[in-house]
Amino acid sequence: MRREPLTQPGEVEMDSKLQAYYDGELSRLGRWWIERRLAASAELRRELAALTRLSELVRESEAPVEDPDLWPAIAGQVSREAPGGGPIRAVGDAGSPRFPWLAPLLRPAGALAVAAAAALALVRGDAWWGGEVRPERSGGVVRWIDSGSRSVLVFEDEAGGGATLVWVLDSEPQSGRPDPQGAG
Amino acid sequence: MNSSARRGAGSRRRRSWRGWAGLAGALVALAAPGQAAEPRRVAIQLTVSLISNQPGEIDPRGSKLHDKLKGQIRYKSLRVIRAERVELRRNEVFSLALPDASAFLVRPLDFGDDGVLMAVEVEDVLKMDLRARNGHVVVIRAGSFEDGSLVIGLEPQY
Repeated sequence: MRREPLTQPGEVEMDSKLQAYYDGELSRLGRWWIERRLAASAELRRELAALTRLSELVRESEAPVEDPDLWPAIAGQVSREAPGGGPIRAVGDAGSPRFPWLAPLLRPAGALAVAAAAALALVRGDAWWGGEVRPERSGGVVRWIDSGSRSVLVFEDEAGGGATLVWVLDSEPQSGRPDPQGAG
Repeated sequence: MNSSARRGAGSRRRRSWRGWAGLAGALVALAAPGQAAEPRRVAIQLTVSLISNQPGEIDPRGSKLHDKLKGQIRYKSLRVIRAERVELRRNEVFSLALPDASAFLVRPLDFGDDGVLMAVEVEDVLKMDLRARNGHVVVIRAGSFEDGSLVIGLEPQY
């Protein structure tokens, strides 16, 4: 099912003005214009309040929190899985080598930061099948991920322009040895 | 009428004209307040491709994606199914129909010094929030398709 844009064209113009007002991007006349409409329209005031709440939620989600640092406990384990020996840090959902056939996916790459995180999974003792994961927040690209019952590998390559690979594995491992090539 | 009187009349006309022009400018500014500062937009380059172990060529349109993938993932061919550059405002949702009949949705949430925060969804597969800087390529495997994997490249350009 396709999702349509959340607003209609007429609403988009007012929404963008309201957004610009919230961001402080409007001129004095623009602010005056919006404030007049805010004073006259309860609906517009509700929209501005919703915008404020949304921005606060975004800021809260970005704020540092004191999660238990599980990385030292798993670093050694993951480094055995990363033959490149490059910098390794946790950003996603993955974990212990429950599926050794995945190792060929991780080719040696000097600057590749193999994001084989397993914070949630290790806590549960179930390294792969995790649904919602809140990865490490310090500078990583993936800030939050929910893959339902699917497993996801997240690789971060900080070399060059930078790249992040989010590799969703098919939901059910096939019987026997799955294709380790990554393309099928 | 002497010359100084004519100069006085001309000066008054100029002042009057300037007054009307100023008033008209103020009215135009009041009528279109949003144009004083355009809302910020971010351009996102989207590339939907099929990578496969079947021998074949690397589609030149997917060369950047190939550069990011080739050292990490094994495949023998890469075919670009769709490439599109979209410009989105904050909170604007863009949806893209994928060849497996699902949809890919992206919505910029926040623009900051450390990149663009985006909500991304591959329908029925995953949802995530990403913060990516200009030129940072995010590649998402959306699942199996035909004889390979469907991959989506996502690159903010601002």
